[in-house]
Amino acid sequence: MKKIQILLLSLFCFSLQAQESPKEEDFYKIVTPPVPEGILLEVGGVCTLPNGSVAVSTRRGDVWILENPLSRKPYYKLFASGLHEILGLEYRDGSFYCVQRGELTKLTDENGDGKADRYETVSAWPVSGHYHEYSFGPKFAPDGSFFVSGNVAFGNEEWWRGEARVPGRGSVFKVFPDGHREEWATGMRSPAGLGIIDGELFYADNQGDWMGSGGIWHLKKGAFTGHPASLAWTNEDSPTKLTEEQFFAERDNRKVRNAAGAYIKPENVVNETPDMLWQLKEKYPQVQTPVVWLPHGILGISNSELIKDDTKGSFGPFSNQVFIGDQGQSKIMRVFMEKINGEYQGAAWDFRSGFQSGVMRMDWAKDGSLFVGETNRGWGSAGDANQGFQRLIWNGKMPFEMLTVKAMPDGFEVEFTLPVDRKSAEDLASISASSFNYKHHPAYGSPPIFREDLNIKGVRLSADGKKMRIVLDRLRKYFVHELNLNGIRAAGTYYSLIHPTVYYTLNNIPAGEKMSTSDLKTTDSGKDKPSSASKIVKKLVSPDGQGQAKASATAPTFDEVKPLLQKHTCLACHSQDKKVIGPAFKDIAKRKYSDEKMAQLIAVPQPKNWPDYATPMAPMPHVPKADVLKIASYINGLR
Amino acid sequence: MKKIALGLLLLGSANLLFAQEKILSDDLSGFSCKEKNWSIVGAATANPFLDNNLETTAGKGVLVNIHEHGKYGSQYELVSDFTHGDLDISFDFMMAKGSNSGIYLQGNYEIQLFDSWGTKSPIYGDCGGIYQRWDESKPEGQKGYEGYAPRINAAKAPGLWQHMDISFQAAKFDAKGNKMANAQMLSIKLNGMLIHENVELSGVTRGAMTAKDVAKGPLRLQGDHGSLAIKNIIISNFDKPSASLNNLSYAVSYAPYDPSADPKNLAIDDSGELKELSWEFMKQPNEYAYTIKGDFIAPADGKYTFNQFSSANNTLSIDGKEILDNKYTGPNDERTGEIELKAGKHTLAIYNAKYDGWMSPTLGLLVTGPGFRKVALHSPSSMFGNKASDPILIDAKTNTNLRSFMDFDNGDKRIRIVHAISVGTPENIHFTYDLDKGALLQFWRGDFLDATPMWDSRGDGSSRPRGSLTQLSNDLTLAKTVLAWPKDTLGTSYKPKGYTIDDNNMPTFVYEIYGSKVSDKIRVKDRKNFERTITVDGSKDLFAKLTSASKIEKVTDNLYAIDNKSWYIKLDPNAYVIISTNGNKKELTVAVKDKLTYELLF
Repeated sequence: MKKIQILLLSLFCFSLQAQESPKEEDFYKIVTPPVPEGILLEVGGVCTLPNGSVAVSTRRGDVWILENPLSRKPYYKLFASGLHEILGLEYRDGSFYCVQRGELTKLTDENGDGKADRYETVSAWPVSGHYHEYSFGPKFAPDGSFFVSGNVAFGNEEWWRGEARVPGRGSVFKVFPDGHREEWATGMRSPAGLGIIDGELFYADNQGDWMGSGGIWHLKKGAFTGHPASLAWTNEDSPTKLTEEQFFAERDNRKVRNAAGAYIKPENVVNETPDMLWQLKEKYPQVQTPVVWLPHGILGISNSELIKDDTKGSFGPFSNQVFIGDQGQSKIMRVFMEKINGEYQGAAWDFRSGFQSGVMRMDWAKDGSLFVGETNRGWGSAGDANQGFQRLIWNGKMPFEMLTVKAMPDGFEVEFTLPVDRKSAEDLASISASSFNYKHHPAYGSPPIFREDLNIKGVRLSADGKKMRIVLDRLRKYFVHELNLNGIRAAGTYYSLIHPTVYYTLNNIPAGEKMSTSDLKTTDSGKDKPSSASKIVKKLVSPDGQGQAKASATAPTFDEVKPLLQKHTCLACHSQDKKVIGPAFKDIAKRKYSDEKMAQLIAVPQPKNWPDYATPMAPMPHVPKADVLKIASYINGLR
Repeated sequence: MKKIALGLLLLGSANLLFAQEKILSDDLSGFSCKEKNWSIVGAATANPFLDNNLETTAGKGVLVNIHEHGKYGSQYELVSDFTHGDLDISFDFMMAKGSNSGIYLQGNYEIQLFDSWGTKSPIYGDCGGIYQRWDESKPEGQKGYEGYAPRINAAKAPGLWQHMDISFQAAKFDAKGNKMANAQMLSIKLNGMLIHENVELSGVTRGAMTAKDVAKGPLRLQGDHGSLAIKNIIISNFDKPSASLNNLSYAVSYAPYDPSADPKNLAIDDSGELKELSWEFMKQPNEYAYTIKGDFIAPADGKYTFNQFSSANNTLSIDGKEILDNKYTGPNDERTGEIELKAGKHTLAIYNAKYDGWMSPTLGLLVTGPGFRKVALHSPSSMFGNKASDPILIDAKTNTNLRSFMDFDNGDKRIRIVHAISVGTPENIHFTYDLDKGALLQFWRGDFLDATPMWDSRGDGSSRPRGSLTQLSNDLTLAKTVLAWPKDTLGTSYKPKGYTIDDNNMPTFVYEIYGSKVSDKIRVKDRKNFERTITVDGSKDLFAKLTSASKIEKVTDNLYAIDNKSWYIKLDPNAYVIISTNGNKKELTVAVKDKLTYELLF
């Protein structure tokens, strides 16, 4: 009897404590400046000016200057208009530089009335006129030139296949002030986000054909990042030395016609020996694997701009780290990078969700808060406004987060923002780990492959309680290593980590001394050990659906399937009651598919069934049948 | 006996007008006028700057009215011997400066023909307006009522050929002569722009032949308010009874899609009779396959054209023959099929199977046949499509510039201009410039742009003009030689430099070519023309090709009518002009020293 009481008591304490753990919004506030009626800020570019005003460029072709942008009521002034879908804006020496679909344009106010009167074409590049041929940038290169990137077009019959109909598509090129252009790097599919970090160029790409997942790439001159479209235009003079011929000698393009002569769309092959991007790098060193993979559906679905925190602490404890936006999930992720063996790699976390529309562009305000420019038109996003301009402000309180994760010869070293409760840290049950990779193939996206749960051999917490070594039994080069620290508690408060899951992409395993077993704590209380982030119920949960499920007697409830919905990234695009990227589970339930039919549709979705949704669902054939049927049963329980 | 003969006679004369027919081309037969002001000539030319000027050359094909201002009266009008009811009429017309005329359908409803060149806010009395009705009993100033202004002023300059399409539906009467339905202007297009649509007329307009509506009346052209020319007058009568559909029945199968099942042989779950053509007998909006059958009554021998709207797989068969084969369509997709039928009863069958929940069931069937207009055979609620996009229309209330892709008919090829900018003005004249070539691509009168293709959803980056469009070419404007005009910028050192914006938000384009700096300024002049000024800093031996056209006619010393008098180029009297032939095209080229200024009138 006594024992039971204690158990009850401890359960009670635990849940109470867990509920009290603060969340993202308790440290980072989203502020929405008012916008005069009639001004549509479908943001494609954000640029803070030396005088503290902020300029915002839009997909409708306007450049607005918001004076006094940190006030409750900024003043809006139209600086330029009529431009072609401006997806990037920078300012230098009194002029703006913006990228339109087909050119880099310098906007200057020569007569001093506060409006541009010279729209100078710095350089115009070819486009075929396909809708998807967006151009992004510019970013200033250290030599005074401009980096610009170009999306691929898609095929006419092969509407799924990215192609470079004209030079420059699927690549990053440099534009010089005299107007001439030089190829810089190739292999891009949808390079919507460029960023200069410490003088070097990085970019983010999205999941799609030849892109197993989104991620961030370091772009050295001549780098090739994985999509073959741009290789159609490379030649002897290109910094990219990989040829189309060499690429397709290593990879099957799967350009196959059916009996009727029509091309067949390549789909994921479930039972195959998959190719991975790193394997191509082993043969052609110019191939660049990502600094970090941003696992699709977990850390975004359509990564956008990346920006380094150079606020010297004004924005919180993450100085010199990188923030990267995501359009579809309307959120910002955080990345810590380190250089091992001369190559970047690092760790990625969720950081702040809840923006009103798709996060596209960011820049630092003078006070160290973050301007966030947003749009979702044509794609949809978790934030259900079509556009927005918001600001993210740190309130000065210290969040309990992993500050950094560094690769070690035998595992990782995690540094925390606050000292960790020693008891929780020295219990192996507090941590779990796994690793996986992605396919490099012409199908749209990739399921995680070669996933393995990893044994924690031991841990060691530093004397100050802020650094923890985690020793794993197996590290795999180039693989994403997922660490779940959901049992870790902060010293004193017993708070959980705000984001207990980290994804470390291990491009190189550092050399050096491994920890001796005698230095490690190896106690395992055996409590409730989750095998992956996907099983964590706390923290990652969206609030909708709590207790609202009108499930039938037999159907599982939302809470019951939540771990599965997270594990298989369903919640990246769906919620129970609300249209997000994809339809609400309730709306899917109305279609009255059988559980079996729904399982088929999850494996091989039919986007034409949902024409009001702009982003087609990725096939999920890797989800185990038992899980799919449980999810289907839950959805059908919502009828 | 007499009665029968009369009937035959009526049929005979009416038959003459059933099909499309060209009238008033070779002579004035079939029409009468008390004066001599109307005649047939070979060609007409009007100087747009001389009041009521209209000059002709002898020949055939063009109807002209030469009339001095100030002489009024019905004796100047041209009236047809035939009478008509429902009628389509299309024609080209040319106004003399300051002239005013009108075409009266059934002698009673006037569509105004008027020199409305440059009028910003057109009224009922402007070109294409439906003239006011008139009530003498009302006090002065209130006598006129129910005039309808055109949606926009699409009228061109005097001396240019303009085009009008009118679709008229006569008032309907019962056997006792009581009016059952008002007359309607189903549609009127001026220079390609739809300016009226389904305008119901409560009665005759001012100056009508009869005080009340009639079932039949003559075509009547006003001749007492100035000179004009008309050609290519084509009329189509619609006086025959419409086709109809009866004895409708349905058979439907409700089941999820089964790829192994024979779609033509599914188990029937429900069947019955239908009062009207509709999908609404169905118990569920998806996972169905139905066939509707009925008797199609063809009133006369001839060609019948069917337009069908349906969701997912559908067919249309007449007498067992599929005139629309099995095809998957969206609910807003129109399918068209034709068949020759004898008068009488035919079997019509519609098949529709749908397994996509996102589409609403839709069934629309319209038919056009010998002597009758397109009629809907479906019930009004049946033709329900999924909602179309809300349009995103851009008006130029002030001068407005917009970059976009612009689709362009280049000869017989449609190309996409990818570095285009369109410039809109509150004077309702607008143009598109190709920044890749320094070329004036097109200009138009009307509203500015439809940006729906660019800004709805992802968009495709393009916008479309909303007006009466004149397309020029995307050739380079400047070159070093008149012979062998460069096909592209290769070898010309062409470099676009963008544009500057003046205080009125109008752009001046800047580029380099052959080492010279060029500025290209296009501005509104006299609130209705464009004036283009090209300034070259550098080379003194460049040429500007101003147009390549099927025909270039010199109207006065410095005024040239382009493309069968579609628009004008007005040059400086001292310009050095070269008119050359290139294949089947004429080209107008001008030497440019430092500066070239010319006007575009349209």
